[in-house]
Amino acid sequence: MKKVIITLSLALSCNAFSQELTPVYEDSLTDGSLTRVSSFNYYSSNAFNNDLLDKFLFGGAITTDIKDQVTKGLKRVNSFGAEAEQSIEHYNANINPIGNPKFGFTASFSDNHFVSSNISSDLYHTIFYGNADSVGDTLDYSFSHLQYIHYQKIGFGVYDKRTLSSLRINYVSGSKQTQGRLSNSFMYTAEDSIALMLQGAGFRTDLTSPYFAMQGHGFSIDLNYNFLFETKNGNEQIINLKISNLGLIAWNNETNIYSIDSLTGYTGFDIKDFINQPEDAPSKKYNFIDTLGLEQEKGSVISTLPIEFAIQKMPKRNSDKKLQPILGFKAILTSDYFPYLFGGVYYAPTDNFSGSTRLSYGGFGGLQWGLDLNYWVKDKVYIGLGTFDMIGNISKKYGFGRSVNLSAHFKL
Amino acid sequence: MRKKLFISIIAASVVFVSCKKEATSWSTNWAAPIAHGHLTINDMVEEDHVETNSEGYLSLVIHEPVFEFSLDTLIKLPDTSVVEKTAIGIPSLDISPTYIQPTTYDQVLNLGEIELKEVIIASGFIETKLTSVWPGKAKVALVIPEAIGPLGSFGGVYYFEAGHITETEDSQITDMTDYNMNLTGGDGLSVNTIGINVIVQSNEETETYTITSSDTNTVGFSFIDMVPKYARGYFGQYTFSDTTTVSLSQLNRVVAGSIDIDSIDMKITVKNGFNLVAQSEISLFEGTNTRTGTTVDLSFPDKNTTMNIDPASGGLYDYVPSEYPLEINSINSNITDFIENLPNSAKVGYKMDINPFGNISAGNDEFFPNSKMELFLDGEFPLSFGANELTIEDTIDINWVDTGEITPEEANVTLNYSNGFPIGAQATFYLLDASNNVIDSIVGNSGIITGSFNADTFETIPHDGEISFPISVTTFENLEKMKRLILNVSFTTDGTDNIKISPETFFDFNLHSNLQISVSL
Repeated sequence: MKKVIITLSLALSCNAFSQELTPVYEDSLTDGSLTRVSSFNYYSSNAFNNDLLDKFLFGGAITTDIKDQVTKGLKRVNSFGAEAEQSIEHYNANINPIGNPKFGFTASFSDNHFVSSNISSDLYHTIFYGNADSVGDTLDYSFSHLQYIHYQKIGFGVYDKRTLSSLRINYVSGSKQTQGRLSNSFMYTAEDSIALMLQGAGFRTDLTSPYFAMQGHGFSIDLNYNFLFETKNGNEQIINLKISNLGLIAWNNETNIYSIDSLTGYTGFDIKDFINQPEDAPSKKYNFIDTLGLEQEKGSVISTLPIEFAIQKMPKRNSDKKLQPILGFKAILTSDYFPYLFGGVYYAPTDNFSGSTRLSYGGFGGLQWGLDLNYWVKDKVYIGLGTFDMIGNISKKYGFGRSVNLSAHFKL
Repeated sequence: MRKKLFISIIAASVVFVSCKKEATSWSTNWAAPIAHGHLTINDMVEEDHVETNSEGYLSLVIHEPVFEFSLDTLIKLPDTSVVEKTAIGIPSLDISPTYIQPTTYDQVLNLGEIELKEVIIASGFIETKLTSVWPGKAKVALVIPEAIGPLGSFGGVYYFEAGHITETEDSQITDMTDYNMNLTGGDGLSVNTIGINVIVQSNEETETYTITSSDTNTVGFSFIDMVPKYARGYFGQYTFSDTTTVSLSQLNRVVAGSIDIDSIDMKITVKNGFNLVAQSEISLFEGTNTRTGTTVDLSFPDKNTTMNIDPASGGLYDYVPSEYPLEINSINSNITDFIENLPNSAKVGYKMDINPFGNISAGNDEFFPNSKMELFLDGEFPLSFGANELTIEDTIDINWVDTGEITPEEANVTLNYSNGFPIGAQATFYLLDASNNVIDSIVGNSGIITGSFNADTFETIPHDGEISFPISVTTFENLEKMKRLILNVSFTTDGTDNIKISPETFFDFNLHSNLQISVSL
């Protein structure tokens, strides 16, 4: 119950967020303070549609039609990923932490979940169909991967009052992580035998609860740089460069570390191990899992955070142009994440209201269509609502994920 | 820990899920081997019980005792407590430090008809307990000179303080293992008699004290769990006779069909490991098949004949049992009819006389260490037979294992085999509920086809075949309800003549499944 309350409290209190809607560059913050509350949530896949994913989220039977539909779209790399970040950021122009009046103080707290995975086509086939239709074939599981990490960040830093560029150093509290990767791995099924080759490694932190398990400690650096310039025509442009999660977590020495490198053949029980044998004969005791040769030990593990790199052209509020182009690039340093490219337009019919739409490709998913809506109240309050995956939000068959972003800013 | 890992992975996969209205489920089909084997007759019968006979095919052979008894329950030294009282025969007597009163007496053991002269003890104890009421210090030496152990004769010295008011007591327990006890008494002519020497004397250094005729001291000893490993004497005249019914429970599993046997050759040897004369007689040996209601009375030459069983020869450490063989075979008896009746119950009437002529050994019957009277069976059962739908049924108690998130739905279990036995079989599995009602059955699409037997070479050309056992959703549901499983297998040999099992006979098989299971998370 406590966990539920904590989770709900976080979700409700941070029911908006800033990593990111299509960010809109506003103005300098040379006086007073700005507080941003953001919620950034998506899951996405380039192969597994919402028909399938919804069954895991909401329950229900995964029918043969659903499985077949997914099978048609499987690729060499079948990614599934997710991020959920609930954050609160504060910028205060009245505090000059490094003594230079050009820079203000910024602090932040965020709770982050990150999932990154790649399921080989044959592993998907094995999980959802079994091996009965693959007798005589080899099912290749190589390079399948799963990473899940849950952590919190508390950061302090400085920001440039004119450009809102910022640099934060964060203490990272690791809550839990599970990670595993297969290298050369396969299963060959014959009519009278199964050969299973497994090579891989991974680890799992010891505790699955409480929500803030604090099983690891680390640090990270977040850099957010806005480069302001004018075109030959005198139009002011903003290029945003962002590097986040440049850091690591050291998990405690209760972490379970796994490795496996075995070729196991299974031909069923030899009847001779059972007939004319005493009741407690060792040959009568067989555990297939034990024969796989999974090595396990306890120890500490250091893992890097999912480093993010993004560069984008931001729209500027109160520009004399109602239509502004937006475009950008983002990468997360994990093997399952493809370079993420997007482009679109930002439209501001009034000073207090704007919207944007964009097409994107990459990341954990494929082609996506996004929409954002922004509303300002007397330059003091900002509320934004958006999604990077409108198709996913409305279609089970053609959607490959979902995305909801909320953000609210308060100037004091 | 692996389960936790699995749970963690699944949890990570559905990290955004707060609650689900129903479980996520899907069906999969799995091909997996279940079992395999290469079976020969040696895998079914212990290797020591199979040999190739002179004609080149296999025989089942038995060389083992089937019945035995010992005499150690007859020849035993019962737990006995004896107290001997001693007192002077005059009104009073002054006891000086040099006073010595030696006493010798025989203690007779009550052993009924048994008259023992000598025993060697395998295990047991003698507890001695002596008391003195003499008013001065006393010393008593108790010796059984003809009970000789590893350290000499049994005995000990017991010391008493002055006990004029309160008697003083001294006791000891002696392990009698390996003691050789002569039971012929002080004169060497008695039986069941222990000769005992007791010497009572003052233990004062200087003082003299006076005892009276009422100062009665006691010498007592008790036999505790005394078991002999050797005995000599006359063991008495005994007759054991009984008619007993023996259940042949293995044959209870035969529920139908018949068997045809060519020949059987048996020798039952009566072995006498005792040095005494015995007589025995088998008056009844009949087998009943309660399923068919048929009883066959086994007849053989020595039936209803008194057999004189000679004494064993040799001595304590080199005795050789005497043997009296009974030949029973297909020629001199109806043993094949007896076996073909497939009796699940046998009634045996017998009589045995120990020392039927009395004490003709002059009291020199001997019971040797580990000696026994036994019936030893040497049998050869050639594997030459015919079976016609010989049906064997066995019931197995089942505890169904909860499969958790994995639910079997349908399966097709396939048996690929190469049958080198000249015997075919049809198997059916019956599922029983808690009330023993048959709720379902699993039956293959065909039976195991017999190999082709060549009567000239005794060789069998293997038959390669495949059998499918389909298991439906309903059957899986019934498997979960099942409390017992009946395995019903019907055997029929190849052709109409009897077959013979050659040493090369084998049965190769590979059992694999195609199993549809539902995964529910």
